[in-house]
Amino acid sequence: MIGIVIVSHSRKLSDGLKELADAMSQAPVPIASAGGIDDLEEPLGTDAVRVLEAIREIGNGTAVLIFADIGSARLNAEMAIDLLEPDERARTHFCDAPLVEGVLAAAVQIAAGSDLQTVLREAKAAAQVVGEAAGSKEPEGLAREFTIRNRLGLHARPAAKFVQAMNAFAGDIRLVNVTKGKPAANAKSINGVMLSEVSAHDTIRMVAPPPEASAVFAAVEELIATNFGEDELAPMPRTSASVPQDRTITSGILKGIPISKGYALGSIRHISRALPEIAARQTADPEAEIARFEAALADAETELRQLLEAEDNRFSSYDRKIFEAHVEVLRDPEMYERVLKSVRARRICAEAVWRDVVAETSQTYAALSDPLLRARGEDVIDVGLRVLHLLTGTPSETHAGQGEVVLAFDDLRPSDVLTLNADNVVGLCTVFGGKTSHAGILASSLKIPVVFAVGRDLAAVAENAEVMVDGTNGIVTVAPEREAIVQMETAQFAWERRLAAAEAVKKLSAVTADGHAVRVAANMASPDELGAIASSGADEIGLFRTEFLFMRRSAAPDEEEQYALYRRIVQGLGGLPLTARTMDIGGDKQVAYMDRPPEANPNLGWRGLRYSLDVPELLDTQLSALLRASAHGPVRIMFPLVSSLDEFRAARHRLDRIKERLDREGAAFDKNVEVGIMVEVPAAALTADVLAPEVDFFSIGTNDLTQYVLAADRANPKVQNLFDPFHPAVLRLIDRTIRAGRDSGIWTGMCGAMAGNPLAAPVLTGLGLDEFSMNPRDIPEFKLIYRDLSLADCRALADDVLRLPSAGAVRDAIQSFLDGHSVEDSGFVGHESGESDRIGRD
Amino acid sequence: MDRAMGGAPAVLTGSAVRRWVEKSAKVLAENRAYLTDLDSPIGDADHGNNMDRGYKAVLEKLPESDDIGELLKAVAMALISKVGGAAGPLYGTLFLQASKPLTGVREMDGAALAQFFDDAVAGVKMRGRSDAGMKTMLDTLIPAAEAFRQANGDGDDLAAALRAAVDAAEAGMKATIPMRAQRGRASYLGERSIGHQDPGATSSYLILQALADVVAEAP
Ligand SMILES: Nc1ncnc2c1ncn2[C@@H]1O[C@H](COP(=O)(O)OP(=O)(O)O)[C@@H](O)[C@H]1O
Ligand SMILES: [Mg+2]
Repeated sequence: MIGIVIVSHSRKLSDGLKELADAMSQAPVPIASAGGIDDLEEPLGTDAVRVLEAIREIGNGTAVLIFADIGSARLNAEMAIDLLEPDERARTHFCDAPLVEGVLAAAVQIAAGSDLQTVLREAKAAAQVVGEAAGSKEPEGLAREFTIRNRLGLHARPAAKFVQAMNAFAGDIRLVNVTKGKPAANAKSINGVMLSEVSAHDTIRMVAPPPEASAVFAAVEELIATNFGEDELAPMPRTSASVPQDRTITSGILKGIPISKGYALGSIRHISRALPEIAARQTADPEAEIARFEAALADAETELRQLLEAEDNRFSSYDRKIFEAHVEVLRDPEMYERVLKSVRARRICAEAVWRDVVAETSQTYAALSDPLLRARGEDVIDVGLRVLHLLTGTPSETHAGQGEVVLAFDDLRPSDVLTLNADNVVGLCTVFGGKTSHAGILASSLKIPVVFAVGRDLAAVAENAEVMVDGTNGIVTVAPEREAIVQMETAQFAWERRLAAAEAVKKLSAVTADGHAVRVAANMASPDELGAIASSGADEIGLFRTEFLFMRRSAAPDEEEQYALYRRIVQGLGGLPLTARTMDIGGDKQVAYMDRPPEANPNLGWRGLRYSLDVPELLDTQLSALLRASAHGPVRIMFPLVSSLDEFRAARHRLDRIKERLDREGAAFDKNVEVGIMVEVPAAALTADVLAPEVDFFSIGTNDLTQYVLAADRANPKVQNLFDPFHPAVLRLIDRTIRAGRDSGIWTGMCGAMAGNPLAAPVLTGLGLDEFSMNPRDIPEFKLIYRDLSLADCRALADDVLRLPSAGAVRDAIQSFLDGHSVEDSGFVGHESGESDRIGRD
Repeated sequence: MDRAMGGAPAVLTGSAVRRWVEKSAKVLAENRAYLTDLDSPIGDADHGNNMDRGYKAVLEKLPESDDIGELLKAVAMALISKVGGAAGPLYGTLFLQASKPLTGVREMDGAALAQFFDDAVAGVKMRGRSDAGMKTMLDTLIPAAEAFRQANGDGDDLAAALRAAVDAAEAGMKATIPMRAQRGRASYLGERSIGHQDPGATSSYLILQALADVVAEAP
């Protein structure tokens, strides 16, 4: 069998490509990876001797194809060929093809049993477009249509399987992607098939010469019936909510997820992403049309830049990229040229031409399978609409009209949030969407109420109907009663006053009326949140959950990847301390590649530090990356789910060994990184006095602590009434922990949901908590509340509540304490729904 | 080493070749940062590291032999496997091509050395598909080979002919500054490669100078 040698500057790249090619070819193809050089410090490069050995390793008397990446890789490949014996050299071919596409195409063709010429031809054609490769005229022969149902469509492994099956037949076999209107492609060519972009639910037409046709169709049928060997069928496509519904809702209450607090009343406007139809108006002066078009492009860019600058610090670097992508579309030379050509040739108005160019361009992207490219198609529409509105002089829907409007989307995109700048938009709601999506995170920092995931009913609400959006509780009321409106207005008035007051104090430190200061910190679960954190007024990051780094991928991130990310975060924080918790995998957070056994009681199982100590490579890598990041700004390291001193010592020992190694290697890091633990297992709280002398700080995780102390699973709705951190048992453990810390001279923080609950603030202050770490969104309000407290009163309150019999009694006591205290009747604490205490995890 | 009238050696012996290699390694180590600096505006800032790593490996692999062909072949193989960048196969081919007629040869006279330079140039041209004026090491090597052949034909002794070669090499190296690169990574920069001295031309110059020095200092 023909063999393949991969020559790349990077060993990882050549190994990875071999892995991919192995996976795609059904029969094993001899492939050797010859990437990188033997230099630990600078492993990038190519080595002719390694290539030579690779050729000999797989050659064995058969032909060998060599693929190389850039520049000197080719020189070294040719060098290696020159070093071969003449008979070996005659069988070895350098293949001038794009590396990844070429190797994959060659591997699939070799596995299908193609001859050398075909393999070479397919590999070299790997980057060509399907129309060129196959000739776009309608093929001849017998035809039949099929619908593809497997999840991946004809990509990757299924495409390879398909090509191999087709290669078993004689003659010219063609594939036409009917759904996407692609030209006929050679069904025996992996490139032809892949470039036809057949995805799940697409219809394809197979054309084969009459003698083979029935066998070919049977083979295709068989492949579809067996799902191309894949496990899953594709889910049925989600029908868009904006397709006309058969019913209209004119009144009622719809529930969703609260994303951004506040209240609003306005008429609903459904936002559709469809391009409007535009009549082609003839013009006598095409050059004037072109001038108008160019002016619109320039204006659109000015608009985008103004948006970007107006809210400067709200945008993270990631968000800025969204704008850049939009600007790129505006400057796209191809779209621009096409408009000019067409306006001149057809002598019609610019908007009609632009509409068509935008429609075609976005469809081309939408037809691709790469999600990033598909998103690009949506960018094209967004920008296309912006320019179109400028050209036609009609205001865009999102800027639209008179009166206060509530916008309803199917699904909010980050760019919708970023480009939202109409003063008369008072609220947002969506049919789909989640709190933790990027759009959700961005929307949560908006100053207007936002409710997500309201459901299909939202789409059925009559256009322009009056709706009331309650972003605090996640409710959309259609055609609200007079009474409800008055209630809302009162709440809104108080809310707005609070908000303004909170904004005013958020950058100040949290100090009680009698001068006691605490640190207010933010919890962070992903670097996407840096922007929101920066503007929240946080004094530090009290909990950086690192799990996200490990989830939704196929292998754990290596040290370099982690280091790069931690460093970026530390630098992005500009000097604010980062408390990084080592990964807490297990419990309700599972990671596929870690291959963990199922557990009957995962929350009492193999998670947190216990797991890390048993699989220490993961922990060591993370610790090393964190330590190195500490060279760039203040970092603290925190271990989760500690239940005994031995565990902590074992973890600390590993950390010390890594410090020694980094020292030996001369790597920079902060030698005095603070090392602390989460106090979330009752055992840790009860023995806090034993732990305190050896750690630098405690951080109490109330969510887990509560469920363990009260034996109430926080995810089980049946025992939700028992799950309450205000239970005196939990408060007593908090008290014990803080005292033990103080006796040993260390500080104690809290990073569970309780820390951000205004109702808890007076008790926790009275107990002596030093740091409150919460959702950054809650920080301004927290700081505001804090100013009205007095340490002396809080201490007295804390003493009292520790002796109360139940959570309910504690809550009542605090409420009446606050009612007697609050200078301003905000109704704010009254709105505390308890939701944030109960959902989520430390 | 045999001496001609003026006391300069008339031939290059195997042990002188070994000293040349050692001296080259030393000079390249000393100029590691310089070469890498030259490679940063128009390349990937690794030429100094590449050459230093390559010649360190050469020192380890250099046989105790006086057979010049064997010595040069060892140099070639070590450079091929250790340099990593484009310079690896290029210098490797240079020494490999030039070593072929020298198997079993223990000393080279002026004519043999002139042939050596021509073979070296031909090797690089073949491997790099390149020629003079493309802003590469050939802009040092070609004038040096020509100057050496000329001086040797004019009856100069080895040391003097090598001096002439080094002078031509230096001029060639400097001449790469205004050139626009047409080969290697620098060529990706197009016009922007103008105004910088080529790192490969510089390392070639240093290696030639090491040879001239070894012959001039010869015991
Ligand atoms: N095709 C070529 N022909 C001759 N010399 C070349 C060629 N390509 C590169 N070079 C030389 O190699 C030098 C760069 O070497 P190096 O930095 O080690 O390799 P890389 O460019 O792969 O990093 C250039 O300065 C140039 O003199
Ligand atoms: Mg380089």
